[in-house]
Amino acid sequence: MIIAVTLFGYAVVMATGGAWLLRAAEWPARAPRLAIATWHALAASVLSSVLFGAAALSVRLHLVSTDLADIFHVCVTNLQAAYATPGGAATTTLALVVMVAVAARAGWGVTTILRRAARQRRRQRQILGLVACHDPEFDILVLEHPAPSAFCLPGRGHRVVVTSAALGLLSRTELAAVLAHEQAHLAGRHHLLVAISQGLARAFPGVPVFTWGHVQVRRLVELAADDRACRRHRPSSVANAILLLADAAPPAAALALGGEATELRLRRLTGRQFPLRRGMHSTLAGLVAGVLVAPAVIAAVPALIAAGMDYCGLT
Amino acid sequence: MRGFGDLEAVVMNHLWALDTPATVRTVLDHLQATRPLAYTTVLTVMDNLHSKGFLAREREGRAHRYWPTRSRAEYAAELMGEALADSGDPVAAMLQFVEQMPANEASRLRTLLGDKKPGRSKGRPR
Repeated sequence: MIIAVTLFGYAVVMATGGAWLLRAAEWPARAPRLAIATWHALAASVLSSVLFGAAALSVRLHLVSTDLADIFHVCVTNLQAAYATPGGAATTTLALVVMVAVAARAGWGVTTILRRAARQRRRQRQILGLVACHDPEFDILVLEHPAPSAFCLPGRGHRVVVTSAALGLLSRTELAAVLAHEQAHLAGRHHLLVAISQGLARAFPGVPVFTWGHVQVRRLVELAADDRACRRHRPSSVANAILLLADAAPPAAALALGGEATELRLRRLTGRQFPLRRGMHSTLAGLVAGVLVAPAVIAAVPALIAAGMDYCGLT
Repeated sequence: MRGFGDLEAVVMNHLWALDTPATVRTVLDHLQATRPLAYTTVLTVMDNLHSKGFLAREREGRAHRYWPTRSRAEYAAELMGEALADSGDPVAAMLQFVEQMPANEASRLRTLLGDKKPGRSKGRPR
């Protein structure tokens, strides 16, 4: 019982307080890849602690035979005290239902998003095949359109698409920077990272770790792609390209993210950047790993303690 | 080369340029000027395009007349509509380089960065 309560408590704290701390932190803009990993680790940690908690509730350890030997008795009662579930069958059943429901809901959310995105991409790829021209020099598809824009179509047979208007606006170096940014999306499989967080946000609306996580991951992949583009190109080229392509909005454009995310990108590209110090980076990475394994550790604690007692002979 | 997909694009381009419904025979005659093609190949390609919804057709005598359901610009607009709607974020099917924003927001960002405007000449200290 105590184990299940601890796990559920941990899940609630991580899903709200943990997410709040991460969202308010300043370091993600300086280490976007680590931040993406952190959001995913946090989400995985919340989900697994709920699953482990429910599993701990549904395990009916008191059914384990106690007359193996007297010496085991102490051990078994210890384990029972930790894992045993009050309320009997009703609690067990409820716990199982919760476990299956949470797992199924998460799976449903993610697969729905992945399937929908795949369907859209299939259609987009078909249309591109008919209306866009291949530019062999840059290996891009050029789409005849008056709005300056560039985007990538991820997945199998991935493509980078640039509109004719964007080609007219961008200099060669700026175009190269844009393409490096899009290639970074493709190489990093950013569409999957975004789809997973979006799927979880869809499955569990109103839970901060998932809803904020999706918004943050969507932004962080852009920062990560900018960083990658800056390895080979001047940050000023990336910044110029952003300013050129962000402008000239068609009237119908919906603007959910507003300029806030773009402003952050420009600030990073034009100001001085201070990447996280190595030590800080390692510390945070260690913390992420800790968050990730914590639910399993909590779930296993009494068993580990029992195993540590010589007379229990579990080892 | 993408083989069949390539031929689909060629057929669509021809029909868009033609601007009037055409039979498989007329399309074939046009395409054969540049490469040898079998009648059945073109028939299959146009039938595929019809079943995918890119071509509409109407029976005329023993053959069909085909025409594009939408113009090239309309398809480009559909794609761009999805690219732009991505910032409103129904499904992130594609990842756009930068969300577009109203002109006043863009100029605000430009002036905001005015003092340290990303110049083409000066690089960032590393």
